Amino acid sequence: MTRDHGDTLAADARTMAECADRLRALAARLRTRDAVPDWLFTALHEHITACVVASEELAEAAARLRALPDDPRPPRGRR
Amino acid sequence: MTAETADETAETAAELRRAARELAETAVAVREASAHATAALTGGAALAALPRAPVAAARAERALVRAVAGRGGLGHALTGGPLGTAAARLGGMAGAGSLAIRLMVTSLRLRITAVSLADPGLLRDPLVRRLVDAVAADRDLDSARALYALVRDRGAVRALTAIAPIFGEVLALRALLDQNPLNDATAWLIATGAGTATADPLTGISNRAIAALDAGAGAAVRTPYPADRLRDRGSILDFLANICALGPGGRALVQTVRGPDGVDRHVVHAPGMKLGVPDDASPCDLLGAFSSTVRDGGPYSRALARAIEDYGVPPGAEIALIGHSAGGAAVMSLAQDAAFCARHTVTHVVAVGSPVDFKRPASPGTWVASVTNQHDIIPALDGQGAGTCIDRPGWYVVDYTDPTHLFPACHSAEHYTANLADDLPEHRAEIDRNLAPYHGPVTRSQVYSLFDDAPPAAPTRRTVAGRELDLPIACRSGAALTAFFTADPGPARDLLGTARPVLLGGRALVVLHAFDNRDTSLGPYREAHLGIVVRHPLAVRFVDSVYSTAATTEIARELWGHAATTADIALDPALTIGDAASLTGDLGPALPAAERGVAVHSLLDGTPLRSRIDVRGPARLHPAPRARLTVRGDHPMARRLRLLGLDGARPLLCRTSREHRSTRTEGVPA
Repeated sequence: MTRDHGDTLAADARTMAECADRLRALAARLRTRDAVPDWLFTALHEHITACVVASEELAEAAARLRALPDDPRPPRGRR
Repeated sequence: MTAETADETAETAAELRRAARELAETAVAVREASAHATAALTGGAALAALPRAPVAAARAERALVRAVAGRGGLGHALTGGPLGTAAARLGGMAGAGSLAIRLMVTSLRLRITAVSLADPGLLRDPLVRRLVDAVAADRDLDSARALYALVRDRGAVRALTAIAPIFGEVLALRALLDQNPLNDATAWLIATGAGTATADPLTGISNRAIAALDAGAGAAVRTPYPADRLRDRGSILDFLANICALGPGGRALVQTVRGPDGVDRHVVHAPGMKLGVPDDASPCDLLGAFSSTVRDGGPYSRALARAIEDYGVPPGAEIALIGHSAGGAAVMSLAQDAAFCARHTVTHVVAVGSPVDFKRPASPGTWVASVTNQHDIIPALDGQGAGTCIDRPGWYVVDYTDPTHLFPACHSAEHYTANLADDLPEHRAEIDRNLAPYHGPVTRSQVYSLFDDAPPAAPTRRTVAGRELDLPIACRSGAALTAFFTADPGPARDLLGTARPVLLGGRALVVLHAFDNRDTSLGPYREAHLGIVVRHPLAVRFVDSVYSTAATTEIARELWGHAATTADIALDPALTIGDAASLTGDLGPALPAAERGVAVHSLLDGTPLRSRIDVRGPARLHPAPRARLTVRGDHPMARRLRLLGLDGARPLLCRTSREHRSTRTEGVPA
């Protein structure tokens, strides 16, 4: 179970990094438009930073979960 | 604005909508990651290893807490599962601090910006700007003050008109940032455009629960109508003129038009809801509009299907469906009904001022046009207004503003017709170009009055339980109380047998009906029924009944097969059913409504029966009752209430009537 959670969080960490990339590309695309409000770029910058931080924190949590020793008890239904 | 500038503005607005959709998709991804991290934290993924590797487990637990609750990354992101829900109920934890919600707020603000690009006056209005800024910044007091200032300055109607183009976004922002967890799902649905809003964005009361009140098989009765008030040729303006002539009075029109190729085709005209009428015998009331919007089909679309059947439209014949307001939602419901489309060829649907964003025709060959005024709130009933970023592939969408856009005037069929005639000539021409097969002389017209259910048949006399009865049984004066609950579906299925319960949010919908029949053909008596709402078709299966007289108990057993017993019943001041149960406490604030009929399923010696309790009279709807149900003793109804887990339950909503009239029909095999 612990390893499953670790694998899921590792995948989520990669997804968060992809989200950051997607938001960077979005910001770059919108910079070419005059009518886009300035607050949007400030917000996008904050979201990109948060996605990067989230990616790092999820990656660390995933690594620490994966490093834990497996539960010696067999899963339910396999006894 | 020059044509070139206008094109550039439209392109930028479209780009902002695309960006809003990307942000919403990102928010959904972040929300999923938050749910996974919450599950790992609350599922004890790290703590389980504590006895074997205490230091490593503690570090893993700290890393999980930091990932879920740290301020820099996912934010206060406890979401999903019992603990996430509990955190949401406490508010704050799952609010503005969460990255997923911050992303969604940016998406919604971007949608508002996109709308304001096309309608520059919108955010130049200082009072609207103040409201939007306060809502987006999650400042409750400022939001309330801004709304109050807007209403005080403009009056309620003009205030509503001012924010109409961004109504859905403002409600979704409010719902995302407030501390009411019941409306969060709706806020996400509006914000992502993933589906029809499932609950009221302010209160969180389930839209589908309210729409489920709109029961009925639908009925259509031919009605005389002066021919000179209907147009004698086919075009979009002619069809809309017919809808204007019929008015929002519960009528519909079917016409045959001989096309330019000499082929007879048929046009169904469906007017909108009757404003100011929450609920009456017609499917075109406010409840019907609600039901047509949030459900795939309802009494309105079923009544239209019956009108088409009665008119004698030949199988396979081509039909164009034209609807305004709730009529547009109802005709789209018909167009997405695969069985209806197998019988007829629906070539065109034109929905004017209708909430149809989440409806899709069953046939890919059906051409759909949606015409909406951005200041009309009704098309945004499904949660998607002018700022929507969802795709409607292949549709011809006309979403416009006009200078005289006061709601509700801008919602009227006459206003839309005038807009298409005078202000939107290019769009009118495009719609007419597509409707060309329907341009020609009208060869036949038939107006129908529409009803939720077929009008009652003439009384018949029968001997039941040793006494002569006039059926249906009529109650000329009485009172009624209906309380709606949700219950675990497992026990509900156990009580139902083969019937399938209607599920709301994964829970069965249970109804407690109580009637005080003061003046009936059987003398005065009271009755109480425990029912479970079942589907296909929508009805209530009575699983236990209590009558206040032995004679009516016997009649109920013999006539409908009810599991009936005799006990005292009181409705005032609180509902008390013998020694079995009582509903006590305040029913809370009330809205005006009208009594509703109910289709009843029962089993008589193993034969499924369908009967109706048709009711009339004014009623009050209590959307947030505080009363609770108390269950006592070993009475069969008490046992069934307990089985459903309703001891101590608070109703989802209640309906009461002090001036209740009803008829109860004999059962017919279902």
